[in-house]
Amino acid sequence: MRDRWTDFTLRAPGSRFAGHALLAFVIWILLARLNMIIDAQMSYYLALAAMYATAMFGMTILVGLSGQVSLGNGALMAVGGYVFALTSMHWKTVPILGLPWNAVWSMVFAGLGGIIIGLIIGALGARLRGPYLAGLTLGVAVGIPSIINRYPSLLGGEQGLKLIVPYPEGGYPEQVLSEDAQFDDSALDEFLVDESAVVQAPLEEAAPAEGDLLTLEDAQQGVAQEDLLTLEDAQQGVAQEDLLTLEDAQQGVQDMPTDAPISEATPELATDPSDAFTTASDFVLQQWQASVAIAVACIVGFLALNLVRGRQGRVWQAVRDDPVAAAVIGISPSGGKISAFVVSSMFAALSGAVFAQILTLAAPSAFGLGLSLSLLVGVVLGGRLSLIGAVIGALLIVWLPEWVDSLSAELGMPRQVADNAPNLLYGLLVVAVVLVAPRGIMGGVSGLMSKMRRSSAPPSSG
Amino acid sequence: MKSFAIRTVAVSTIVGLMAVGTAGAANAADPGVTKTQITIGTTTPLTGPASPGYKDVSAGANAYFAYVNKSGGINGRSVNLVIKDDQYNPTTTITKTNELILNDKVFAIYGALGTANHLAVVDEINKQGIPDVFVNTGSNAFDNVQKYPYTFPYFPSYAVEAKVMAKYIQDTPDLASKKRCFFYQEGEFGENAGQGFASAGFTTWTAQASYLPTQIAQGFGAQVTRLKASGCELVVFFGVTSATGVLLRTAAALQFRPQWMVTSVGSEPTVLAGIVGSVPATRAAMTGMYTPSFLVPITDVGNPYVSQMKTVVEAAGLPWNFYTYYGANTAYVLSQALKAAGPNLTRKGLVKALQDNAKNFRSAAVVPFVITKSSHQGLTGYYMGQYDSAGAVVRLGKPNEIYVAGNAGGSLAKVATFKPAPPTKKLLP
Amino acid sequence: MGSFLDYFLGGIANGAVIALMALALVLVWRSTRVVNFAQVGQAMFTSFIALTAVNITGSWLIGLIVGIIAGGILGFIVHVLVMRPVRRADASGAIIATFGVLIALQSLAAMIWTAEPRAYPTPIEYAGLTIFGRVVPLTGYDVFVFIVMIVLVLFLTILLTKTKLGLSMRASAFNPEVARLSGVRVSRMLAIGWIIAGMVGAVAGVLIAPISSLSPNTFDIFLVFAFTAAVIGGLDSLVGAVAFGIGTGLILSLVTGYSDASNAPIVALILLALNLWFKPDGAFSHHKARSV
Repeated sequence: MRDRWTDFTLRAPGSRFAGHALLAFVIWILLARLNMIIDAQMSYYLALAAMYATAMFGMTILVGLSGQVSLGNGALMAVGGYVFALTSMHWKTVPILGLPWNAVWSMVFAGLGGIIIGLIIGALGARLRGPYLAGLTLGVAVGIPSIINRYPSLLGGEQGLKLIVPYPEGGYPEQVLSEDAQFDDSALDEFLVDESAVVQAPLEEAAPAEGDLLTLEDAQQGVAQEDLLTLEDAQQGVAQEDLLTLEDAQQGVQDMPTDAPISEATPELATDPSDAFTTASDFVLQQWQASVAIAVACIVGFLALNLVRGRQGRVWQAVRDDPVAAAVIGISPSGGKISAFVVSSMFAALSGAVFAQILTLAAPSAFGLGLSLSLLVGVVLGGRLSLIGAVIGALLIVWLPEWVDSLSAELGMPRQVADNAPNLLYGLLVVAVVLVAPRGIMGGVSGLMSKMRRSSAPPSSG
Repeated sequence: MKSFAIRTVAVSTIVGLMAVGTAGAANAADPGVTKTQITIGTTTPLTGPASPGYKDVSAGANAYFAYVNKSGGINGRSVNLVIKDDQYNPTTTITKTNELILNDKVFAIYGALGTANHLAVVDEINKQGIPDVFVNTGSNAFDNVQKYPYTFPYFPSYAVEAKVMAKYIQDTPDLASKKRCFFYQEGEFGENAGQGFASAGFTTWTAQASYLPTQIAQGFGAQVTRLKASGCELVVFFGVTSATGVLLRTAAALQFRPQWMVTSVGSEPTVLAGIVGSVPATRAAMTGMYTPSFLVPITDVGNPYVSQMKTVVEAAGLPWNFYTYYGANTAYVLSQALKAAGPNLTRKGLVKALQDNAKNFRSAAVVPFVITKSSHQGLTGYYMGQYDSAGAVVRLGKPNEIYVAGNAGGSLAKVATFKPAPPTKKLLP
Repeated sequence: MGSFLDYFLGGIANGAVIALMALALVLVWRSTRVVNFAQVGQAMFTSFIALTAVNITGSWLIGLIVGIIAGGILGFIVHVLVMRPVRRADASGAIIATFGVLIALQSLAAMIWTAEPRAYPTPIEYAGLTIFGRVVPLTGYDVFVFIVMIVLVLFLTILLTKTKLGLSMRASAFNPEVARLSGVRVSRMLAIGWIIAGMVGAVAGVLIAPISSLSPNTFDIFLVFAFTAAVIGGLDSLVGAVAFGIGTGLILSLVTGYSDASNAPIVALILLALNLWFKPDGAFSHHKARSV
């Protein structure tokens, strides 16, 4: 597997660079085209997959190439998400440069934030062996959301920061929505019955007659509505809406004013946006989200390709495989480890910035330990040594839970079992994949391919 | 370059296969409504740490809809409630809400649970003009007609509850004279309550303490020590029920016996009894605890709402507790709204039916239900209850006496009398 | 000053249960070189089995014994079905596998026993002790937990360092090839390591359950704290796990008591980072950190 990467080092750097650029461009065109032909729900999945792939490229470098286990990359994504949210909320112009702000600047600063946090954690982590690094990054995964919760005035606390996302053209018709909370309590007063006017009777006395109560049999079999209707029709011959007042009268309690005819117009709701939404051909929010996520994933993928297949990729592997030997040939082991952390943290932060745009929200709960663990699950299951493995991992994270959900939905089990069946299946599947393909799906595939190649090759001696 | 091409093809094939796998579902002209069916959807935690109790709310609602469906449905249509598990994670809530809207093509979102969870999707739901009825949270953030014209809370807000508590304390000489302390869950839950108390003039406390949800499992030794050392005589607690159980147990162990007043969200009797167990000291701490509530007490089985909803819930094989009760109750209210919206059911029609007819809807709530063109407050108040030695909540005060308040900062709690109407025949809409 | 004593004693009570869970993590690491994220899941699952036994027999002790047996069996099952086959994978693969086991156990427990938290009885009354005429946040039960923990550490230390079994287990974990050549049945030793860790985890679970109450997820937070304590203590050291387990409990209690609950995780993170900066292999580790 590792030889794969070194194959490419024989090429001239320039042509390799151009090849990677072309590859990234072609994939971008293909995915952008795909985004236009699939429905909104699929676009949403595509956006998520591209966002996860962005973070997963960093995981491939960190966990796969440089051999450092991280349980905390989800929290690094939070850094990017929050930098994006804060800068896009508060900046009209870019500080120092004085240029007008736009979303690309927020992405750049999110990436910078990732680099800084990556340096800090990388410097701490470079001295640590496997499980100790896992312990540190677990602390980061749990600690960063706590820090966010600690400063609610700046970071929005539990509810997070709400992003204003530029809506795509032709998406929804503009609806005039005020941003301010407005409580109108005047309506409350009309409900408050004057104490003296109320018949001071215990509630039980106002209970309906025995025959009006539903029985267990009713609840199990249902009540034949025709019977009820005929009975009432026979008695009163009135429309259903009138029944409420009628019964009130029968009970001798006039508790609530009953007026407000239904036919009155509702001026507030001038347009029904759902009409526009259901026409499938429009460029909807999900497609816009996917196009952002795809663009970032392709740029990050291009960077990752160059790093992984260039000198830096070999440095990381050398440090992972034998730090002492690496030091002998002049490679700084801690430098290699820290640089892997910085790159992966930058990718995570960019991915987090995209995630915040997909969620239209940066909230601590979105970047919890669960996210960090899914990133590790993705990179381990996909195959931690190749960028394709990263993409497969990203697809797995998005698709596996959905598939497991739909699978268990069809089984028709009792509620307590059915509710938990998807998680059980998910856990078992994770274990199964690690057992069947310890180097991930991509590792398994390339292992199979090389086996086939060997068996199909002609005998070398003649 | 060949390997590049292969990989590219492989990637796009996988993505393409995924597309084929999950795409589909017909485009209905009127989303979620056919001649025979209304499809609505909810997001709620069915699994994970937040699932205890909460998972029963949607099940209780489904039990009521099943009963209505068997009895001929609403205006000839049966109600199909699609329940999605979001594990109380806002990210998952977004995914699941997208699925409800785009795949299941729901007519309305109903009973979505969790403040942070629902805040993540509420803008989008409103932009698309999808009715968003009876959000299951006490945050007052969703009472906002201008910003969220399609969103309708039901649960009376934490801020109102805090105002009610403050009013009750002020009006009860025995409580007003006590040194009062505030213990709350970190985050918007405690924050909303704090704002409610502040607007009622409760800005200073003898002592304050807080906890993080993750600390529940470790016990509240440090917090209780602080409250006890400060000489607190009345402790107001805003936290979830599992935290209340831990708090009472820790306090009992430390022989700290103040007067407790606990939020309605933190005092579900059956769950509390399960956590407290049979330890006599903790059981004793529970007795006399004040807790506001807004539904007819669940133990009042002679009440026609309680008895009938209990029948509906138990007929579906579900446990009878506050969560199933609350779920069945909001389903009952929604069914009346759907019926009032008439046979030509549209989203705008449902919104209008809610705004015009909310005051005529029957329910087990014993406080006014306010939805108008200018206010989406939902339930507007509480009555004060108190635990008796048998572990049941007893309603205090004169018959039909309640406390109401608005969500606005300046609105204070008022004592009022409110007599709710009896249920409709056979509890059908 | 009085409240300092209270926060201190309360912290020790909190720390003892963290230490117990950390012990189980260290045992698995020592015997198989795997960080077992499923440990809290196994402890939770066996505690449910123990609670079932308590409900049937009415005896706390029988519950404990049933729990310990179940813990050993579950440890063995996890080892045979998952961890032994997974040895071909690297560290991240093994972590993910134990993570998968954790999710599976939690869902299974929710299927069988529902997600609602339950009270777990205590053998000794859960009431604060009176010291110098005042009630402190240290209950008789906490003292009981503390004593059990000390006894367990002593017992395990003797077992692992003074007996032939213990030495064979260490040899199998550190260098399976050499151990095999010197006649140790390595695979059996690894299995025994998982069984013992499962039993210790079961004890931890049964002792934690009355404090946290029992549900499929209530032990989750102890995984984070126990792992942190084990890492700071040096994953090989039983004493380190106990010392830093109690230390973690103390810090959480003092920070919560003197400042604010929301500061506790942040202080814990900073101390974790500082500890690892100065002691990259843990405070009680027998090895020197690699200098590269």
